[in-house]
Amino acid sequence: MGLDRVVRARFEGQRFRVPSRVYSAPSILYPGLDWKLVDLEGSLRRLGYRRVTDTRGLEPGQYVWGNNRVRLFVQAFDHPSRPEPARDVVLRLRGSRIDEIRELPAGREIWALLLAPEQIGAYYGPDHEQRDLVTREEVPPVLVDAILAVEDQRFETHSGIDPRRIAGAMLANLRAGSVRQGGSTLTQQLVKNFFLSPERTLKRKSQEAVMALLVETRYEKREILQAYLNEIYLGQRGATAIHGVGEAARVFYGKPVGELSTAESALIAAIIQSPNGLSPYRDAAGAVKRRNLVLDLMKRQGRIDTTTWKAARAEPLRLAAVTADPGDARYFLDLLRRQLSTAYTSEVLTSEGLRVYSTLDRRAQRLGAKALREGLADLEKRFPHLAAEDPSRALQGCLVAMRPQTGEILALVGGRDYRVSQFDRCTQARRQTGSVFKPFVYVAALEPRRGGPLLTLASFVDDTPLEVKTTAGPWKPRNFDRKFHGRVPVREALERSFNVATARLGQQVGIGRVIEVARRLGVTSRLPEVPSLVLGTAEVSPMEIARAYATLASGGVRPEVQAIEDLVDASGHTLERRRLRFERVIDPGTAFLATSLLEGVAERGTAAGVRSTGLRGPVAGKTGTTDGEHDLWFVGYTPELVAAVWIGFDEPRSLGVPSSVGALPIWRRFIEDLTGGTVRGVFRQPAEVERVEIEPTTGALAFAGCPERRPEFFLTGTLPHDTCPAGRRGIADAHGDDSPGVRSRFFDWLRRQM
Amino acid sequence: MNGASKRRAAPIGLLVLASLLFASGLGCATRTVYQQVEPVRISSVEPAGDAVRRASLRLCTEGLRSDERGRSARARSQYERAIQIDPTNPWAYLSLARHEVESGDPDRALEYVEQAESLLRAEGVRSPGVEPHLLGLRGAALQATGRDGAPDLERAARLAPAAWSDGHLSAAELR
Repeated sequence: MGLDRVVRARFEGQRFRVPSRVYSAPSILYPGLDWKLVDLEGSLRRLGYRRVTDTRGLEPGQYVWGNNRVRLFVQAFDHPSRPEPARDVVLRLRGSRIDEIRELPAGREIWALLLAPEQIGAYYGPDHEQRDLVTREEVPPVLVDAILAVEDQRFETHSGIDPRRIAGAMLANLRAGSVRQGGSTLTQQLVKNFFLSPERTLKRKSQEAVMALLVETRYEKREILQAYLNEIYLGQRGATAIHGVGEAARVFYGKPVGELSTAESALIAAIIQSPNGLSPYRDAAGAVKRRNLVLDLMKRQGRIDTTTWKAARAEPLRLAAVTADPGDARYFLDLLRRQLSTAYTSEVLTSEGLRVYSTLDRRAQRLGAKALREGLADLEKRFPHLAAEDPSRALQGCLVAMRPQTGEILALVGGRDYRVSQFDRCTQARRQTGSVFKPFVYVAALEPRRGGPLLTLASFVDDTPLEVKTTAGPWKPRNFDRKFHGRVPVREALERSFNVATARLGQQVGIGRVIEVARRLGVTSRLPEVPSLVLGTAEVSPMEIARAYATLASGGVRPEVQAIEDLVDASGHTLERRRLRFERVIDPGTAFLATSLLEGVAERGTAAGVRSTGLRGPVAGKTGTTDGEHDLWFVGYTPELVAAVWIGFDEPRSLGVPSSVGALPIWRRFIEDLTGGTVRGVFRQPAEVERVEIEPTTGALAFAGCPERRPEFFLTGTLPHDTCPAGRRGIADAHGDDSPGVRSRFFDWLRRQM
Repeated sequence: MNGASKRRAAPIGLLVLASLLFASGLGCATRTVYQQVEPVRISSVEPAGDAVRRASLRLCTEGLRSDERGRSARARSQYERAIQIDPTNPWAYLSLARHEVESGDPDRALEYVEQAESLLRAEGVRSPGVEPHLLGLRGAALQATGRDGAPDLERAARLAPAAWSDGHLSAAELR
C-alpha cells in the first residue's frame, strides 16, 4: 500500500521540475543590414542551424551559404502572441550588406525577417535538471521505435517487467563474466529514476519490480511512455543535466523533437545506455557506431525498411554547435530574477517551465563583456599597481547599455567575472559619481524659468575661488589642476570639467533645484542637499546614471527601464506583457542644449579620447573621476544607445588614473565593436532651438564685420542682447546672413524691454 | 512733449506696434491651423530614410495591415520590432499610439503620442499632414481617459476631415 501511495503521488502530482528559460530579444534581418557586423553565421550556429551544401530538400533549420546569396530555411518561432512561421527565404548579399530578402517559392519580398530569440540561460533547481517537456503526440514515431528497439522491444505487451529480457541479460552477463547488459524495461527505468536510488541491491531491484507492476496496473502505456520520454537522462552539458528527448533534440540538434530524422532519433536512443560515455560530443565515431547498431535493430525488428535504414546509416553526424556559456549574461539573469521574484517564488521559477523573453541584445551583451574584460586587463598591464593577486580583490567594473527612447536594457555586465563575484555593480552598487553628475547642474541652469534661463550656451561662468558656508564648516572646491581659470565660457567649463565654476553655478541655481532636475531625469538614490552634491559626491548606481543620460538622449523623455518583453507559462499563456513607458520631464530644447554641451565634451573636452581610434558619428558623453580617483566613470550616448561604464575597487581605494584613461576606452571599445566604427543617426535640433553665430570671447550676436564668429544654439527667445559689431540690430543666423526672423526678433526685443 | 517723455513713449509705442504685429502673426497661424491638409500615410513616408528606417517603416505598415485584419497581438509585436530596429522612428510610436487607443489603453497611447511628437519635432518632420494625427490621437486618448479631448479631436477633424471626421483613425487610414 505504501508503494502504491508513492507511485500515485508522483504520477498524479507534478511529475517534472522544468526550469524557466530566459531568451534574448530576437535578431532581425532586413535589407541594408551589415550581416558581418551582426555576426549572422554565429547567430545561426548558436540557434542550431546547420550549414548544408545542397538547396534541394532544404529543411527548417538548414542553410546554404553561396556566393552573394544565402538560402535559409528559417525555423518557426513558437510564441503565443507573436509566432513566426517557418520560412524558406533567400538573402541576396552585396558585399557585407543584405541587399534583398525574398520568400520562396513565391518570391515575395520580405522587409524584416525575425530569427528566434536565443536562450541565454535558465533558472535551475538544486538538481540542475534541464528539460523541454513534450507530449507523446509531439514525439515522432521513429524516435519511439528507436528507443523501443534498443531499450524495450516488448514494451507494448509486457506488464512492467520482461522475463525474456531479464533472462537474456543474465545470459549475456554470465558469458561476459561481469554486468554488461541490463534487463530493465522502460517502466523499470522510469521507476528507478522517479522513485529509487541508483544502487544495485536485491532489495532495491525487488522494489523496482513491484513498483513497475503497480505503475503498469494503474496507468496506460501511453502515459508511461510519455513520462519516460520526459524523464530519461541523456547526458551532461556543463553543470546542467539533460533530461528527456525534447531537451536532447534541442541540445544535440538545435531543433524541436518533431523534426528529428531517423538517424538523429537513433542516436538519441543509442546513448540512453551510457549518456556521457557515448556522448557524440566526446566520441563522435563511437556514437555513430552505436547509432548504426540501433538502426540495425530497428531494421531487424521491422521498424524501418531497407531504404530508410541505408539512408540513415549513411547520414553524417550533424550536431548543433555547443552554445556559448551564458556566463557573460548571468548578471542580467540575476537582475531578471530579482525583478521576477516580486511576483514569482524561486520554486515557481525553477520548476514551472516559464519562458522569459528579455530585451537583451545577445551581441551587445557579448561585446560589452569583452570590452570590460579586455579593458580592465589592459589597464592592469599598463598600470601594474592596479593588478591584485587575489581575484576577489581585483579591479572591478561594470557596463550597462540601453536604448534611450525605450529604456530597454541591451547589455548588462555587472562585473569582470561572475564566477568570482556575483555582485552586480551596475544595479546593486551605489558609488560617488564625480563629474558625470555635473550635466544635471547645467540642465537646471539652461532650463527655461520665469525671467528666462540662468544660462545660455553663450554665457560665461565664474571659475574663481569660492567658499560656501556649511554646517560642517566652509567648503572650498578646487579644480583637478589646482588652478582657477577666471571667467570661462559655459562650454569650456563643462568640457574641461571645472569644479569651481560648476559649484558656483550650483549655488546660483540652487541645490534643491539641481536635485529636482536629477530626480526628473531618473536618479532615485538619496541625494543629500549639500553644496558638494553638484560635483558628484552622492552615491548613485550606474543604472540610474545611464537612465538619466538616456532621458537627455531621447530629447527629454524619460524611459522606464525595461528588461522583460514578456513572460509566458509552460502551457503557452502570456502572464505578463511588456509595455514601453516614458514621460516627458525636460523640454526638448533644453535636452538638446545639454546634448550639444556633451557633444563638445566628446569633441574637445575630457572625453575627446572617444575619437582617438577613429569613431565616427554623433557622440555625447561625460567623464567622471571621484576624489582620490576611487571611481572612474564614463557615460556616453549616441542617438540610439546610451552606455555607462564604471570601474573601481569594491573596497574603495585610489586607482591613480583618470577616467579618460580608465573608463572611457572601455566605452569606446564597446561602441566601436557594436557599430563597426560608424554611429548611425544625428542629434536633431528641435524647432524651439535656433542656431545663430556669436562672437566667442563675449558671447555677443555676431554679424558681418565681426572678426571672430562661431555657431551656437539657443532656445527661442534667449538670444544674446549684445551684438558684434556693437549696436547692430537683427539676428545673424548660422550662415552669417543678417536675415531676422520676425518671431525671434519680437521675443528678444520684448525681453530687452522688460 | 519734452525729450524725456518722448524717450519713454518710444518703447511703449514700439511695444504696442510689435504686439499688433505679433497678434496678427498669431491670427495667421490660427487661420492656417484650420486649413485642411492631406493627412499623412506611413506608406508615403517609406521611400525616405536609410535602410534601417525603411525596414522599420515597412514593419509599421505590416503592423497596420495586421491591425486591419484584427491580428492585434501580431500588430503590436511588429510595431515593437520596428522600434527595435530603429528606436528613433516616430512613425512606429505613432502606430503604437493608434493601436493603444483602439486597444483601450489610452494612458499608454498618450505616452506614445508624446514620444512620436518629440521625435517628429527632433527630425523637423512637423509636416501639416501629421498634425491631425497627433491632435486626433491625443484627443481620442484624452477622451478615453475621461478628460477633455474634444478640442483636439475637433481640430483634427477640421484639419483632416477625410481621416478624422468620425473621431477615429483606422489602421488603413494611417497605412
